[in-house]
Amino acid sequence: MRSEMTQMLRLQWQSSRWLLLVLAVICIGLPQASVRLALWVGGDDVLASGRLLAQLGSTSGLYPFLAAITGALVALTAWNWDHRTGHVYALSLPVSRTQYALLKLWAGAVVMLVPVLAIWAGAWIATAMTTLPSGLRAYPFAFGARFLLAALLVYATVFALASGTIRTTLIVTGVFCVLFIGGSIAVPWIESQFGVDLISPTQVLGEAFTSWPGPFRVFGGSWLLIDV
Amino acid sequence: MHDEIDPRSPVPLYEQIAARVRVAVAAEEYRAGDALPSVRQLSSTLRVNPSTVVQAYRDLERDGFVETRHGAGTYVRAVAAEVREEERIRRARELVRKLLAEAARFGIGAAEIGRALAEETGVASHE
Amino acid sequence: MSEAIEVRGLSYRAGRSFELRDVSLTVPRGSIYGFLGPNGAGKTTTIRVLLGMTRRDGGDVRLLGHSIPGELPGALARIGYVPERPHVYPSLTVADALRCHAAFHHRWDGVWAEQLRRQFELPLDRRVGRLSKGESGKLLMLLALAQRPELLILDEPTDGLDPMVRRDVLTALLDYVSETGATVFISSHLVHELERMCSWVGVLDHGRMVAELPIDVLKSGIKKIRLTDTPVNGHHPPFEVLSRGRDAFETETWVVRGWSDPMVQYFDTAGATVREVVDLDLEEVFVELLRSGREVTS
Repeated sequence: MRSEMTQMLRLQWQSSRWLLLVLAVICIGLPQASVRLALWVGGDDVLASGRLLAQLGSTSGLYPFLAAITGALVALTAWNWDHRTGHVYALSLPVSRTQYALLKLWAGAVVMLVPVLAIWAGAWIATAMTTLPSGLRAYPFAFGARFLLAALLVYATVFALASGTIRTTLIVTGVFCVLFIGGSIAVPWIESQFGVDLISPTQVLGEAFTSWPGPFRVFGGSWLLIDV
Repeated sequence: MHDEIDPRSPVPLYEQIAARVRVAVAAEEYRAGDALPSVRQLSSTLRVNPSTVVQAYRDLERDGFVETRHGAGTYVRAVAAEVREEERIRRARELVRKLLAEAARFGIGAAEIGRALAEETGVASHE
Repeated sequence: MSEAIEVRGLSYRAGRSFELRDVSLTVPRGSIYGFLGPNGAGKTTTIRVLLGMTRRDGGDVRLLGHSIPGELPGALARIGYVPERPHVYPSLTVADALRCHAAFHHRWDGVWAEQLRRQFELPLDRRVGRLSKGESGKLLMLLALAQRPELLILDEPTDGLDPMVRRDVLTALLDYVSETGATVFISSHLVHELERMCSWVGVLDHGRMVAELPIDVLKSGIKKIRLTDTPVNGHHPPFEVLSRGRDAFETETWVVRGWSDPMVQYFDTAGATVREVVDLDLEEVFVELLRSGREVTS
């Protein structure tokens, strides 16, 4: 399997290297920008920590988003070439379809280390040389790990979706969207008609991602690079 | 041997190949000891199934025109003058047979052919 | 030893009009089997079903003894496939494509691959998507051959190629076959080209097998008879009549199967003389078979 694994890695790299470059640049740059901004807003006085945290908190929402984008785009580039050529080459190879998918999964996860290492490097660079207000510490490692986990989750999900034909991917996404949008309209209407209190789909989705036990919880919680 | 083999002819391809070699031997294009192209070479040059060439060479060996030396290829054998003569005669008759058959389609008889032959070759035909 | 390809009762349906119905074929090991049929007959679909790329509705398929789709990867490791259209990723260079194929096929012959590449004049740094039709055709054959397969399944490998390229590709193929005794299953609607090479012929028309015979039997059995007049006959002929008609010069012409020379008598008694008995080439046989829609089996 070794030659196949190496080759798949090579293919994945070839199909996604520009994407990885762009993501790496953003991942290194974004922490610099947000930390510097927070430090500047924070100032030097007694209330510095509070202001810094508040400022950082307001931009921290970008990171889970970035992690999700990373995971999704890497997953899409994994299947892109096969979709374009109708999967004929892949189907002609002497590996089972499961093996092929696993090889691809592995290759995509490995190249994703590029933006992940970039964000970790970015976080470390942003906080290593600066003096933080008293009582605050930087957590670049935890930050990087959270990013990795979030990206991997989205990667795995989109990978699974994209592994079907374009048709099945669209169908699944379509059904999901319909249910979500439909629910968002139907639920308030039912609530107002019957005076009951139902849970809204947006709420369900939001909670699912951020607090229900399970891997997606990583999207909730603290994305603060600097904290008490 | 670059003659084109005619897949449309009623003669099987292996027979066409064998005949070509026989004619070449009869005309002394191939002399005793000359090597024939390998099966691999000939099948790709003529773009025919290698088994066709194998069969042709087998038939030639059976008829004593060539011999296969294990692992070293196929070589022309010394063929007696009478055998060569016989082969030439056989080819001549084949050509004549074809000619007469074609002529018959147009209703041209053997006598007319004979006259035409005499005229073409400038040789007086014997009655 | 099992056959190279065994198919029994294959059936497949797509949409309302296209189907493969009860397709059976047998490709003996070491043979060169020509899979003929007009465009649209279903040859490419049959091949895709054989290779497990499309799921069939019914029937059995075995490739080199492996049942499909159960033992598909094992079979594919021993089979070289040339598709109708290039299947390699267009963004890869020729060098990348070779490397990729080599990584997945463990019997890859790198030395021979390089030899063929030079012979075919394929530039290493050209992207596959930018290759000309001739170069693509050569690359696909190169990939299939350098794998050193026991069975080659070729779907119109020379379609659209100019004569020089066609010659190069077929020469390399036959060279390999001479050396290894590999089996070849080659589909084409270019009958002339296959005529020289094939030992077996299978004809597909409108999704059904119309004939499957050794090539000599197919050709020798079928003759065109040119007659002087239209026969007025009472009894059943001793041969099978595939078609009757008039040729371009208004001569009564019959195409028959199972002819032997003494059968001239039949026409004599029917008031017509046989002017000529003509052997048909494979293309004419093919056309007659399709026209008569008759089932011919050996």
